[in-house]
Amino acid sequence: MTPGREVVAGVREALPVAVGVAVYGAVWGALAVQVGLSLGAVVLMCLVVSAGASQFAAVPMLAAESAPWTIAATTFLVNLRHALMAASLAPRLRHVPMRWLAFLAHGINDESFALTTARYVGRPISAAYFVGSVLTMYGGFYLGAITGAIAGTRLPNPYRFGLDFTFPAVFLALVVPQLRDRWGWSIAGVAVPLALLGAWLLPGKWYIILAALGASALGAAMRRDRG
Amino acid sequence: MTGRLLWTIVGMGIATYLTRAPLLLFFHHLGHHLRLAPWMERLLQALPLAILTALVTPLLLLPGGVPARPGSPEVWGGLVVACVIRLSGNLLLSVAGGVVTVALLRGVGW
Repeated sequence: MTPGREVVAGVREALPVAVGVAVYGAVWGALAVQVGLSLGAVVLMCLVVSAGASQFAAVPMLAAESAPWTIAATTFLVNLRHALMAASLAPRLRHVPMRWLAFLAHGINDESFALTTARYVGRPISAAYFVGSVLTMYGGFYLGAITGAIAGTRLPNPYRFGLDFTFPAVFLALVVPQLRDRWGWSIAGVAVPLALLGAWLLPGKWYIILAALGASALGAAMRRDRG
Repeated sequence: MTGRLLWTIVGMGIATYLTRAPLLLFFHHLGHHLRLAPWMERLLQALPLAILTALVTPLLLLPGGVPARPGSPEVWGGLVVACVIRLSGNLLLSVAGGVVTVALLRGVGW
């Protein structure tokens, strides 16, 4: 496929997920204006940070007038899972020049990572596809946040329409086809209990790091046994 | 916008970029200059599936931090997603099926 077609494919496959992302963004935008952010601040934070979970975590801290460095440190911890995603993307973006990767890095997000790695299982990733996916996700989040900031609490509750279920649905639909052999089942089989244990015992998003490292260590060990 | 808020936003932006860029650039650079250790290659190969599974598990089984009831709308939604993607291989169809199932079951107060 030409890069142009790859971008289009990235956009097309991201669109249904971006609907859920936009709803999530709208909820965040409404919360952010409630703690005193202007529309300009909402837009600026979206552009500069572009990481939903940490933006949610910042809201109560902004309300409590926490120090900027405390909020930045929390942001770092909440987003640390992106470092694992970055590491696993790197060898499969070997064909992309370093200076482009410095820009692509800003686009790493859970949903685009999920869609892209599931499409290019075990082979080099198309940077164009990834860019299309990221632009769609971020576009959805920004538009949602602006809508939420303007409409505030007048928006209907998205829970009623099951839209919060978009995220588990997408991730699950991307996991299931990868459960083809003993290797895939073993990785998932270890990641599930570790994630539950981590979500139960650890703060924030640490369960992702615990489960991802534990399960991929097992996956690596299994491949070595096989030679 | 106050200076304090501006600093907060800039700090959050730097913190986030520091989670995303360093390992991407480091492993990219390393890969061009020497071969990654085989165990590292295998670890990086296994990571995407491990991360995806880690992302979805608590969303399905610990929604809102509480263990899901067997037979809750979310559990049924998950079953629909898994079946539809197995049978059709269509992402949009399976996600839509899951969301509609959850919305309907919540709507009737399941």
